[in-house]
Amino acid sequence: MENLNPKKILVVEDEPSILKAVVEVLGMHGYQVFSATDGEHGLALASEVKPDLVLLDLILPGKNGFEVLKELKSTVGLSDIPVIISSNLGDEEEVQQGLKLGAADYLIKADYDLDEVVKIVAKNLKPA
Amino acid sequence: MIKALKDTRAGGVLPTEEKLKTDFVTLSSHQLRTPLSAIKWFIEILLTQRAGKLNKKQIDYIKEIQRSNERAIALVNDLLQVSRVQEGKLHLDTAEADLAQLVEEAVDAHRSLMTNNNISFHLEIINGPLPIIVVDRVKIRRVISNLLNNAVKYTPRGGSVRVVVKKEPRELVCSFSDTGVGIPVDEQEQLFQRFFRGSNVSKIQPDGTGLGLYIAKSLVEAHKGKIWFESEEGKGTTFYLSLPTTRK
Repeated sequence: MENLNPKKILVVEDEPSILKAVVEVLGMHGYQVFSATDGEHGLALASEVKPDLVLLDLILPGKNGFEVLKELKSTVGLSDIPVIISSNLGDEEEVQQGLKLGAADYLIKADYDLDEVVKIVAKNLKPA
Repeated sequence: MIKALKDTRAGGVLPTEEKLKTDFVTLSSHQLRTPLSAIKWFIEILLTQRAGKLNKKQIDYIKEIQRSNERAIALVNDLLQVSRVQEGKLHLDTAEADLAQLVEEAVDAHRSLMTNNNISFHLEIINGPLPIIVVDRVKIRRVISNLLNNAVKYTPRGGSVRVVVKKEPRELVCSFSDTGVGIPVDEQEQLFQRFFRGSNVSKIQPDGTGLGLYIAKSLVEAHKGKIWFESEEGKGTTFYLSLPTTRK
């Protein structure tokens, strides 16, 4: 049965191939997916659609992922949205900085199957 | 890292030439991870067959691509780990751990490989129960896994692998013995060097990177532990890992 009230996921990712794969697989799992390829657009879209979760890359043109995360966490109405950092940077300092800024989880793309990414998304979504 | 990447993207200049050199491997490894992730994820999507049904041969070929891609990812991860070691950026996230449990987890991950290669396996705990130690569990599990993986990989079919964890007065010593190809005497001194691979093992496993033992040694030494081995070519090798105990 089609899900009439799908959870909304915002993917902020500047690599077209990665974005395409994530959008594809989240769509397959019944999520309504929105995407942005830079930080500014990601923030604008977050305000507009109020997603249930944000999957956020770190290296982005313009504002980087940490800056986007900081703004999301300090904006009324957006601060409660769980943000998962999805990056290929994975030094301890980046992971710690991400978690300190309020990220719900941190995943290194090259080390995770898409199936695991979907599980992490599901785990971090608030129950309806 | 994020700043260094930005500088590079903007065509800017990194602080010094020396810094550029030390960052080169790290930067290129990070950059390589992105296309490798995309390959990994599209392979996964293809194998779900939602984009169309695949025949047996196509699945077989895609799995070959997948294996090669996973090797490339492992190599990039190893290179990143090496540059972290060299830059002194090795961070230990320590917590209380049970060494026997870490060994058992690594053993479980290797069981099917051992069964497939008809390798008999024995695990023994001497002077137990073992005291709890304080280590970075992920990193020590990686070392154990690396030593066990080498033992299994370089032991011919029908051979045996034996792991012993022993409580000593101030340390826990874990040994990994195999009946594998062994390490030629004239190559033993170089074994923990970066990129070094034994002449006999390169023939068995041509795709190794020669980074595993270098990384293992760095991780063990960061824990104030020791790693060493005894080996006889054609008969087998025993690797030893010792970690200090904090409680008597």
